[in-house]
Amino acid sequence: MSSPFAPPTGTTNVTSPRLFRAVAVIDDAALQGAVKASADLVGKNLKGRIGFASSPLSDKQKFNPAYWKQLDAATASGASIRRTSCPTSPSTTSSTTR
Amino acid sequence: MPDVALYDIVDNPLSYSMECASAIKVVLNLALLQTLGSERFRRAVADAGGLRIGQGVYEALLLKTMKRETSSSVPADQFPGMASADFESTMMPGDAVYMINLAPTPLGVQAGWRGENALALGGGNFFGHGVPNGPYPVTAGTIRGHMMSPGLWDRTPDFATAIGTRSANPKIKNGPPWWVDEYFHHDATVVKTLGLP
Repeated sequence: MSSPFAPPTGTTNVTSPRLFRAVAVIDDAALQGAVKASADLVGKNLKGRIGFASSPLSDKQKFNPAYWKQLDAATASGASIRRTSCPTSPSTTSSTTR
Repeated sequence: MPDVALYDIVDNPLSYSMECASAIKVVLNLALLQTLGSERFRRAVADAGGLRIGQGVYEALLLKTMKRETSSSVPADQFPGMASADFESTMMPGDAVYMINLAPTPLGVQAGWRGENALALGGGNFFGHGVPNGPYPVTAGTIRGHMMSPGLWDRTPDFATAIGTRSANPKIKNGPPWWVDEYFHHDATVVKTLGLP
C-alpha cells in the first residue's frame, strides 16, 4: 500500500484551456449558480474523486520539489497544490449581517 | 495560467489529494472563473498576486471576494450554545460553512475531523470533501454522522475534549454535539469589479 504522502508520479495530460465568457449579470443568483455548477463539476465525478489528505506535510516533505507539480504555462501541463490537514476553519475579517 | 491549473484538478482528480478547506477553495475559484470569464479571472488573479490554494485563511483573491455573513466570532470552545439548526435555516446556496466537531478524540483530530469545511448547495445538500464513501451531494446529517462516529468523537463525562482548554465548560459538556459556524459567500458587489480595467 502506497503512502498517502507519496510524491505524484508522471505527468498529467491537460486539455486546451477552456475559455469562458463573463456572465451578463453578476449578482448573488449568478454566483450561487456558479458555485453549485462548480461543486457539481468536482463532486459528481464519482470514479475520479480528488483524494483526501488529513495530515499536514512535514517541512521536509513540504519543501521537497518532488511533492509539487509545477505549472508549465507553455505546455499547459501540471499544477501544484499542497497537501495539508483540516484543523481550523477559514477566517476573514469583514463582517456584515444578512 | 490559473484557469489551466484549476481545470487540471478537474481533469486529473486522481493526481491530487487535499483536505476539505482546499477543496472548497478549488470550487469557489472555479465559480469565479465561470462568472468572470477567462480574461477577467486571469487579471483578477494577477492583481491578487497569483493563485494560491491551501488550508487556513482565504488567500488573496478569495479573501477579497468573500463576505462574512454571520459568525459567533467566538472560539469554538466558547460558543454561545445556539442549535445548529438555527444556522442551517439561514444558510443560502453558495455559502461556505464550517461544521465543528465539538468533542473530537485525539484520533479524530489526527485524522482531520476536528471539523468539516463545506459548501451549502440548497435543499439541505452540501459539497463536503473527505467523508469516506460519501455520496454527492452530501447532507449535513451524513457529515455529522461521520464526525460523531466512534473513535472520532467522544463526549463521555470525563473525556477531555480536544478542541480547547475550556473543555470543562458546561456549555461544551452539555451543549449540542456539533456546530455549524462562520459562513461566507462571494460578494457580488466586489466580484463585479474584479479584473475590470
